[in-house]
Amino acid sequence: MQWDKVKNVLIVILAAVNLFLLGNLGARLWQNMQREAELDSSLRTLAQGYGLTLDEDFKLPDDKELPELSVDRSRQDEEAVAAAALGDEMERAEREDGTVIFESSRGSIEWYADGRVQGSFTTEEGMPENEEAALRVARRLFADWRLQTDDARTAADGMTVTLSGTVAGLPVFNRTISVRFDAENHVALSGLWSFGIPYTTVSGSGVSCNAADALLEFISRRSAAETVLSMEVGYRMQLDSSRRLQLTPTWKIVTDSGEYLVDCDKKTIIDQEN
Amino acid sequence: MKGAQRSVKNTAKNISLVTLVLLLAVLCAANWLIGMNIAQMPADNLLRRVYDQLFGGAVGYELRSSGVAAAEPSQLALTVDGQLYGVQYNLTDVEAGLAAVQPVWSQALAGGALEEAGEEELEAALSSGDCALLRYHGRIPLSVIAGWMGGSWENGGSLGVKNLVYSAGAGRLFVRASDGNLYAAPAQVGENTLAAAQESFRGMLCAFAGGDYAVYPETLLFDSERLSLPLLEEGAVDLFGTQGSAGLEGLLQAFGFTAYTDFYTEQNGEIRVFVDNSSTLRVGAGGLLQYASAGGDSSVRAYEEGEVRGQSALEAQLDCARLILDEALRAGETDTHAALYAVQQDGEETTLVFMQLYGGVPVLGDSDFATFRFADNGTLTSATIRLQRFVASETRRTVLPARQAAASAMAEERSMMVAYRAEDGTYIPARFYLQQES
Repeated sequence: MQWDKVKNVLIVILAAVNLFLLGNLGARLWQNMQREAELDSSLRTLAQGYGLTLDEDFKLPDDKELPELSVDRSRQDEEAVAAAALGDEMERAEREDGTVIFESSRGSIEWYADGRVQGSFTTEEGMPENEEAALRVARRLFADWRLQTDDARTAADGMTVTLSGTVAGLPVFNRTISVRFDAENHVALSGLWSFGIPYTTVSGSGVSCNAADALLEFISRRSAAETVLSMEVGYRMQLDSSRRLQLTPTWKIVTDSGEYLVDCDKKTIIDQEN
Repeated sequence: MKGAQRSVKNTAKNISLVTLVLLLAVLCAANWLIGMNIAQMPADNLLRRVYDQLFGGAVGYELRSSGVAAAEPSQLALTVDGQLYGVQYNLTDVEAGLAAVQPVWSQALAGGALEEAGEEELEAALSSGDCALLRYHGRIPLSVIAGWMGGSWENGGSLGVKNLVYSAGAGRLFVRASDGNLYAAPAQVGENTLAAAQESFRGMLCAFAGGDYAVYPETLLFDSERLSLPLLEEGAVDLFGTQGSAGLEGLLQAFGFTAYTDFYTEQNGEIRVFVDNSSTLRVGAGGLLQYASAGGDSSVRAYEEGEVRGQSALEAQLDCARLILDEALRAGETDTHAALYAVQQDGEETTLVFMQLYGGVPVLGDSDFATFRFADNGTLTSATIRLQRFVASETRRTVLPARQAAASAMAEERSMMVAYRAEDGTYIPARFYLQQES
């Protein structure tokens, strides 16, 4: 009988504590939502002040803390791609600046130290009839050249097909490779690519990617009347002063006039991507 | 009947209690988590990893204890099809060679008990089958090199080394300390790993000097070596010029200052002195940077006090110094790069000494290129960097081949290096003998 009463008291206390915690949680979530709504409204007003508008469907992404990543250059993977494209009889030469040149009777491919690649060579594929055929053939070629991965995306623009993919689960906005069908049995390859798993060090710093800060910086530096459609966080690939490939956290802001990259850390507009 | 009713009631209460306790745990966790900034947790934190996985952060990257090397080897070699091939003093060749042999060294530098070894044992090992060699300038702790290669070395890891030789035939790793002493430890590299490295390694035909000369047996002698390097003229560094302003801002940030930090000038504006509550940075327009913090307090920290110790602390200090040097070299647009030369640990202070290289060849001056002093609590107490910009002239000079230099080496001249040294304002490449440190 005594235990029965104790249990009753415990149930009441637990229920009360749980209700309090639930209320606290709900209040915090509500506050967050209110803050987001206020921020959205303030940003729209500020953008209007600078002559820009935020699209009705525009939603400010969540802030992120991303690590700065490094990628090791893989000459082996570069050679494997070149061998698949040019055939095994190709010859390899390396310049002092780290550019590796592969040549065979089919053509040539050049890999630069900063990850850029350029090539021009013949294939066994004929000239695709239309954009859809170009996409299909390009996918097959990318797979043959060992560039196609599970998360890779291909997009066609006329006879040029561009492959892009993620690194560390996030897009690398300038890491794309394109193949252009420019004549019967002939293609041109160009772009910026990397191989292998990126890494950071235990003591490596993270970069705070604040969406509102980046957007404010962007709209304050734009003079043209534009509509901001969306923004997305990811990386951009670049060579650091020690000739190492680095992935730097970057926002991509899409407007009705183009796509722009904004450095998460320095809040500077890098360039217009398209 | 009443008993059965009581039993049902009791069961219901028990279930309610268990449910409420579980709910309490979940709500406590939810309240705790919502108040935390998980995104700002260190990348090696499990909670951070789960959070990134669930909410779209960066995933699938490696976390290395010390990912980016603060120095590249000056020479490396590997036996391929029974012949020794090597690369030296060329940044591009060394980078490519290192990419091929790194897995070999990752396995060879897996830790072991170092014991003193004899020169005869090394000479026998060098001729007993496939070998790999790494050579660094200066004296770099073995544990640091192991970390760069993806391995680890704990016992005796603080030993300052310059040459490492792995002998597959002897199953031994030989380590040449900076004082000339030789140590060895058992080491094993997988056959497949070695074969893969041999397949992708490219270099020039070379050989170990063996006992033919006075130099160390592991000294590399290249066949038909013709190392032709340009003479270097010193160009002007202008950190305050319009081109350098963006770099200067990055440099100030690296030392914990901002572009808005107060500064005063000295020597007709040639030196700007930036001062905050705890530290001072003197920036000379010509490239001399001097940083000092007062009373052990500093805005530049390699790590938070008590966060890491031992090997991890040294790695964090190296990373901190390397990143500052990166910014400094970028600001000075110097076209040179820095390499760790020595680590001196003295009680509660660690001093890191860096040398500068032009295209992979050391440029020697009257003073060290850069020194960083860290206190035990992770703060940078002082730093000096001497930025120089070089312009390669069209005149080239061929460096005395290693074989000829080795043949005329005296007994105490056990080692050689190629470096630039100033003569009448021009930096001239030459081969130097290195005498054994006592």
